[in-house]
Amino acid sequence: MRILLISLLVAGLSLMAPPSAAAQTADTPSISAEEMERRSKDIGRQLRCVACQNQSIEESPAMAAQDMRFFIREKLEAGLSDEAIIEELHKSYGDFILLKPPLKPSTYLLWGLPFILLLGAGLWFWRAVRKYSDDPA
Amino acid sequence: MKKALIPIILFAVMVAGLAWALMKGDTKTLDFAGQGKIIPAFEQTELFDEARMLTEADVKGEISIINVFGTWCPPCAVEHPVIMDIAETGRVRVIGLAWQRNNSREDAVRWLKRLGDPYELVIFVKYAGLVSALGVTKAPETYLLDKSGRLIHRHDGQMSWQVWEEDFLPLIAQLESQ
Amino acid sequence: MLVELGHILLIAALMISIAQAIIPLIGARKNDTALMAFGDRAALLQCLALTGAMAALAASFIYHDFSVKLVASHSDSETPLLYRITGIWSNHEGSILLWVFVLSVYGAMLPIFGKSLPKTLKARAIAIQGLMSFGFIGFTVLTSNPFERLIPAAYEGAGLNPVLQDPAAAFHPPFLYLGYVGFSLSMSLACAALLEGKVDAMWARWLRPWVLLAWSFLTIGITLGSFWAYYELGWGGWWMWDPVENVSFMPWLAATALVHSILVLSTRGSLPSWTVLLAITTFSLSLMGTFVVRSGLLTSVHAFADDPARGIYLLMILGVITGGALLLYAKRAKMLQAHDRFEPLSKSGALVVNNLLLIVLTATVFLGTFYPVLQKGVFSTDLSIGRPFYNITFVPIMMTLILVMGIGPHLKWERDSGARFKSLSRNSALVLITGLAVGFVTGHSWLASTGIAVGLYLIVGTLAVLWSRRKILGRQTAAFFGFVLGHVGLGVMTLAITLLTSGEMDKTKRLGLGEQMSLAGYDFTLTDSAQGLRDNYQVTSARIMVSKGSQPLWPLVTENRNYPDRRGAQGTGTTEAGFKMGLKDTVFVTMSDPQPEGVIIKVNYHPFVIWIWLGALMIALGGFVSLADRRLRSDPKPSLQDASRPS
Repeated sequence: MRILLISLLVAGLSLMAPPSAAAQTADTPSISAEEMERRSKDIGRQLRCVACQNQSIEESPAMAAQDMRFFIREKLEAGLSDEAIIEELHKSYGDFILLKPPLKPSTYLLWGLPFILLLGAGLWFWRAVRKYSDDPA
Repeated sequence: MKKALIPIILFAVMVAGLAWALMKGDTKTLDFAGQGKIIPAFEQTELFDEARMLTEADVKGEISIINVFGTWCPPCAVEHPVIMDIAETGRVRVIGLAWQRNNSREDAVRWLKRLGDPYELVIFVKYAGLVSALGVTKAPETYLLDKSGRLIHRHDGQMSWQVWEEDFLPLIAQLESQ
Repeated sequence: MLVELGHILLIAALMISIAQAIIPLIGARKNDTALMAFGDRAALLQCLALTGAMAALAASFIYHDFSVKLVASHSDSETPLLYRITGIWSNHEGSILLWVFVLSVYGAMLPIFGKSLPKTLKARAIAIQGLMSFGFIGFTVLTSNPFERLIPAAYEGAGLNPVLQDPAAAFHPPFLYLGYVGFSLSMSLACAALLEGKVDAMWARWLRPWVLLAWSFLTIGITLGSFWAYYELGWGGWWMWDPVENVSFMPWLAATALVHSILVLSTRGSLPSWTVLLAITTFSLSLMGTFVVRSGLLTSVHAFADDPARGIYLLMILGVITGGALLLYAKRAKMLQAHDRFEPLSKSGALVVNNLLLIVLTATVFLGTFYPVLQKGVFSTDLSIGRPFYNITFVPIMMTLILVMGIGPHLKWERDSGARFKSLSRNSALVLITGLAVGFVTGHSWLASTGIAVGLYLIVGTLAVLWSRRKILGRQTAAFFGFVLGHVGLGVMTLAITLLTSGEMDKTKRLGLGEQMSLAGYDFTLTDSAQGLRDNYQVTSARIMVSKGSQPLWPLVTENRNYPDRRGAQGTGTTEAGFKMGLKDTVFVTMSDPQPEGVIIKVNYHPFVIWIWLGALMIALGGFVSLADRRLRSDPKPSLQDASRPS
C-alpha cells in the first residue's frame, strides 16, 4: 500500500505539472493587455454563441461569436465591469445568451430537481435498508 | 395507488408535454429580447462616405426599418427586391446595416450597385459591437424602430412582402397614429 | 430498377414484420411450436429483406444513380467512394433505413443465438421486435422513403456535406445505431419476460450479452462523435452538452445502470422489477433520441429532419412501444415482488447506490436537455443550458458515484463487516489525500486537485481489487477483467478531463509571414499562406512550424475549405485544424481568412486530451471483454457455485 502511494506521488509529479505561465509571456507587452485577454475569456466562456449549439463564444469560430468578442473588448476598454458587460448582452439577447441558466422562479425546478432527486434517492435507500435489515427473513 | 403505475403516468405526462411542444410549432426562432429598448449609442462610418460618421441620432426622428445584410449572405440577396419595394412605398425610412465581417466596404458598395440601393443611409460595420448591442443573431434581419429609436419589432430571416403586410404595416399604422 | 427492388423489399419487410408481431405471440399463448417457429423464420426473413434494401440503396450511391433523389441530394460525381457509401446514412431517409436494418439484425439474433431461450420467451421477444420493426418500417415507407426517384434525373448531384466527408463522422452513425438500436433486445426481452410472468436470474443471464454488446458499441459511437467534433468543428471542443449529444448519452447512462442491475439479478436473484424497468427505460431513451433528432424540436448541428409531421409519427411510435411496455409492467409488477434484500455494507448495496446515482444522472441530463422546450412552451422565452449547469449538477453527482465505485467492488456480496469497511474507507481517504497532494504540489487549483484525486482513486481502487486476486488470476472470469478495464478506463477519463480542463490554453494573434507567437513553451511560426483549388473544394491554408526553443518540431497545416455546390449555388465551408496529438501535449491550430495585413492564427494547447478517448475506448473494450465470459454462453443451468463465487 505504501509503495503504491509513493509510486503514485512520483508518477503524478512527473506527469502533471502544468506548463508555467511564465513560458507564455514572451510576447505579451503590458499588464492591461493580459488582463483584457483574461477577462474577455472569462466573460466569453459564460456566453452562448447564438449561431451555434451550446458553445460559448470563446470556443466558437462562428462569425457571430467573433462579433460578440469584439463587443466585449470594446466594452472592456471603455472600462465596464464583467457583470455590466454580461448584463448588456443579456438585455439584448435575453436569457438565451447565458450558458448558465439564471436562477429565477421559472428555473427553480431546473436547478432544484437534480438535488431533490439525489435526496430522494438517498431517502429511498435509507428506508429500504432499514426495512430489509429489520426483516428476519 | 399502485406504485407500479408511477412509471406509466410519468411517461404519459412527458409524451403529452412533447406533443404539445411539437404542436405549438416554432420552437426555434429566438424571441426578441431587446424589444422595447432604445437603440444604443454608436458611432460608425457611412458605407458610401468613409468620412461621414453616423450615430444613433441619425436613426431617430422618423419611423424607420433597419435592414441588416451582408455580401456573404445569400438570403440577403434573395430578399433584397422586397426591401427595394418597401423603400418605394415611402411609408418608412429604410436604413441599411452592412454587416461585412471579413468582407470589405468595396464589396458592399458593389453589391448594392448590382442589386439596387433602397437605403436612405447605410451604416457600415465590420465587427462592431453595434451588432451585438442590437441583438442581431444572423443575417438577414429587419428591425422596426419608432421615432425615438425604440426597437419595436424584429423579423428574423428573409423579408417577404407578406411579412411586411401582415407584421410590419399594422405596427407602423399604430406608431403613426401616436 | 434496382431502387424499385429495394423499395419492394422494404415493403416486403413491412408485411413480414406484421406477421412476425402477431403469429409468434399467438403461438406462445397456445404453446404451439409451429407458430412459434414461424417467428424465428420471420425474423430471419425480415433481416434478409432489409439487407437487400440496404444493398440496393448502397449500389445506387456507389454507381452514381442521380435518378434517385437521395443520391442526387447527398453525393456528386466527385465524391470519393468511401463517402458515397457512408453518404447513405448522412441524411434522414438513409439513416432511418439503416436504423430499421440494424433493428432487424438484432431481431435476427434471437433465432440465431437464442437457442437456449425457452421457446415461449423467445417467441414473445421476436414478436415484440416485429412490432417495433413494423412501426419503424411503416414510418420509413410512409414518410421517409429513401428510394424516391427524381424525375427527370439530375445530371449532377449536390454533393455530400463536406463536414461529413471524414472517416470519424462517417462511421459514427453505424456504431451509434449498433449501440442504441441494440437496446431493442432489452425492451423485447423485458416485455417477453413480463408476458411470461417470470423475471429471474436466468432471464438476466440471457439478457446480459445483448446489453453488453449494444452498450460497448454505443460507447465507441459516442467516442467517435466526440473525437470528430474535437478536430473537425474547429475549436477543440469534445463535449458540448448539445441536446443531440445528450440524447445519445442518456441511453448510455441508463444502460450502464442496467448492466449493473443485471449483475445483481443474475447472481443474487434480486432487483427484478428494477431491472425490467431499466431495460424498458434504456430503449425508450434510445427512442427519445431518435425522436428528438428528427422532429425539429430542438436545434442542433446534428438535427436531421425538421419536420413536425415526422415528429408526431415518431412520438406515436414512442408512445405505443414504451407506453405498452409500461402498462404491461403495471399489470405484472406484483408477480415480480421478490424480496429485495440488501445490506448497505455489501456489494449488492453498493450496486444499488450505483444504480440510484446513475438514474439521478440520467434525470439531470434529461432535465438539462428538455427544460428549454418547457420554458419556451410555457413562458415563451428561450433558455440556454450549457456547461456551467452540468458542472454544478452533473459533475458532483458523478464524483460521488466514482467514490462509491472505488470501494464497492471490494465489498463482499452479502453483508460485509463494519471493520473491513472502515479499513477500506481509511485506505480510500489516504489515496484521495495523496491525490489531492499531488494536485496541489503540481500547481493545480482546488477543483482540479479534487478531479485528480478522484481519478487516481478510481484507478488505484480498481487495481487494488486486481491485486487482491493476484494469486488466483487464472480463475477469474472474463467479466472480472472487463470490470477492471471498464472502471480503470473511467478513472483515466476523469484524470484526463481534469488535467485538460485545468491546463488548456489558447492564444490568438495576427501573424505575417515569418512572424511567430508562443504558447505553453512552444513557438508557432507562420511559414506559408496560400489559396487554391483541390479535389472538390477551394482552400485557403496556412503552414505553421511548431518549435520548442530552437528545435523545430512539427509542421502543421490548417485550412479553411469551401465546397461549392456543383450546381452553382452557394457552397459550404469547413475549418480543418492542424494539430499534433501527443500522449501528453496536443497543439491545435486554426486560421481565419488571410487579409493583406496577415493571417489571424489561433493556437490551442490541450494537454492529455487523447486520454479522454483512450479511456473511453478502454471502457468499450471492457464491455467486449466481458462478453467473452463463458458463463454468459448458452448455459441453461445456473450453478449454485456462481452464487457463492466472489465476483
